Amino acid sequence: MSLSESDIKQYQPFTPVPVNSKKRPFRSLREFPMLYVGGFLVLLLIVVALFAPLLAPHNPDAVFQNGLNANGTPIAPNGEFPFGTDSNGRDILSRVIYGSRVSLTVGVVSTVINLFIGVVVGLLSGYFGKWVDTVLMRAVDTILAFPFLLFAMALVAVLGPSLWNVLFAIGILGWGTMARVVRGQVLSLKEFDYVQAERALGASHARIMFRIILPNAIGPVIVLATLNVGMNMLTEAGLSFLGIGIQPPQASWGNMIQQGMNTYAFAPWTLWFPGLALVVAVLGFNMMGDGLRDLLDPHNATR
Amino acid sequence: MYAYLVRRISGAIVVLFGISIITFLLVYAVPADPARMIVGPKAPAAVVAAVRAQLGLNLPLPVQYIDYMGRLFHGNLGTSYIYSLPVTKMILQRIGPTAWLALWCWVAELVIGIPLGIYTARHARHKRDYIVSGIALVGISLPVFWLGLVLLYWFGFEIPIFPLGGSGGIQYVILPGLTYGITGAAYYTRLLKSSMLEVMGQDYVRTARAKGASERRVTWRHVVRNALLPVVTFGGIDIGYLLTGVVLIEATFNWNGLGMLAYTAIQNDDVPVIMGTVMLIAVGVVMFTLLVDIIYAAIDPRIRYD
Repeated sequence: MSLSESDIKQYQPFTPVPVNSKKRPFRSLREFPMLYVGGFLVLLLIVVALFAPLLAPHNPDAVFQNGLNANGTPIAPNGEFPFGTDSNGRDILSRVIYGSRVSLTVGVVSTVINLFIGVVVGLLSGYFGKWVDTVLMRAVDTILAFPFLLFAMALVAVLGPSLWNVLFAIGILGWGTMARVVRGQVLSLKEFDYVQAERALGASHARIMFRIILPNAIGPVIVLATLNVGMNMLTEAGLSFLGIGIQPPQASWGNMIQQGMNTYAFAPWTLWFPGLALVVAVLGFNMMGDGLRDLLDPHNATR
Repeated sequence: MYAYLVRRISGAIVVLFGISIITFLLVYAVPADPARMIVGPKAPAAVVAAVRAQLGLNLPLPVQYIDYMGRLFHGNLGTSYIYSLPVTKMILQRIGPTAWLALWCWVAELVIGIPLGIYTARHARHKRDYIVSGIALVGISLPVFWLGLVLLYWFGFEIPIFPLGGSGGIQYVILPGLTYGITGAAYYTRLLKSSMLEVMGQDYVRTARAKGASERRVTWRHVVRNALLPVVTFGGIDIGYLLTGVVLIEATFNWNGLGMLAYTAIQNDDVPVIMGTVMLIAVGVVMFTLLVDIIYAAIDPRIRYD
């Protein structure tokens, strides 16, 4: 589930390209369909999450008297419940809408934590080299060797399952790939003349790292971070699916799928809708990440 | 070669050491009191204290770590709080089923991913490439557990061809293997495609074309053969990661393997079992990565000098 070696391979440092004045940075939909479609899906997700109370037809946690059939089975999609009801007689559409908040929060905030740790470790490691690099990279190897999902499961079990603990566990464990990518960038950038010039002018290490190198290394970091949001959303859903993430009655797409697991034989809609919402959200971030890569790195536009 | 070997192996040893420390800290830093876990919530305080002393939980943390490492080297991962069985034995029983499942997941990834990689590279930047690459991207975005349940619904329930979960022979393996294959294949597709596009730009490919080799021959004899090397490397490392990814698959298909063992242990707060499985898989990942690196360095001398 975490980003793999093949992804790392694709994040070789971007080569600077001479600026072509005729080409504006934001070009047409035809040229970057991935970026536009992905960006649209991400925007849609943000809007749904922000305006959940306005968009949801019902209270997501309300158990409806008329929400179950006479034999106690969930109700199929109809006018009142467009996505049907779940085995508790709750409105699935409203729960899917509110579930977007959990997914987006965990995906984005855990990625910010990944980014912060990964960027600092990668910068220090690549910039100082020598023993600092050896120590930090062994730490990265160690964190990448751990089975990510299992370790996150164990950590959440220890801390107690809650939104913030899930977010913290994913954030604190998933920075290894980011650190490697940033380190690779720094290694190539620190030999450039403008960095050497700063050093000759007597700039401090911190200034060179954060003000000179980091802004130039930001391209692949943005791409990786975008893809990372999708990955972390999948991890959160996986944890919630296993019952170690977001706890019911709070709606998360993962725990809705878990609930649907028991009813899909006679009420398949309980499985379809939360899963489709998750796929669309993750796909949005993945498409946006790929699109950004094509936009920011013309040399690497292989797909 | 020897210098490279020494460097890689010493690196791996440091990582294994780091793994043991992190695992140890999690076992002993958790809020749940192991002694209380063993004797149960109703036992008198004196009994708990006795168990604590017996387990050496009163000793300073570094001393406990050395004891723990000593037991580890004897293959002793502790005793399950819940089942009172040696963790090593419980794990060994589950390795077989998980390895069997992981093997098929891996085969499915290759069987789906590699042909698609060749196809997209041959049709790069054309409609067919965009369509297949788009499908591959959807594949990466699918949650394994959900796809697994969808396949179970269609091919286990609506059209009952396969069993509705459970572990066993080939008929039990097809749906989980397919599930993992669909979600993981795209990594191989992308890697092979970019590798093939790189090889296609090489002089020897142009030479082959200039000598009048057919497009089919150029693709298969010159491009694919040379482009497969990074795929082989990734394939080796991927086996290590598969051991991680298999947890969700096992939970979805009710497969009685390592992942299920860890999953039930986490639900029961059975700390020695959790840490035993986490550590075993981490060690497995390190070992597989090391093995692949060494084999790769033996095949391709350029690797050793970076």
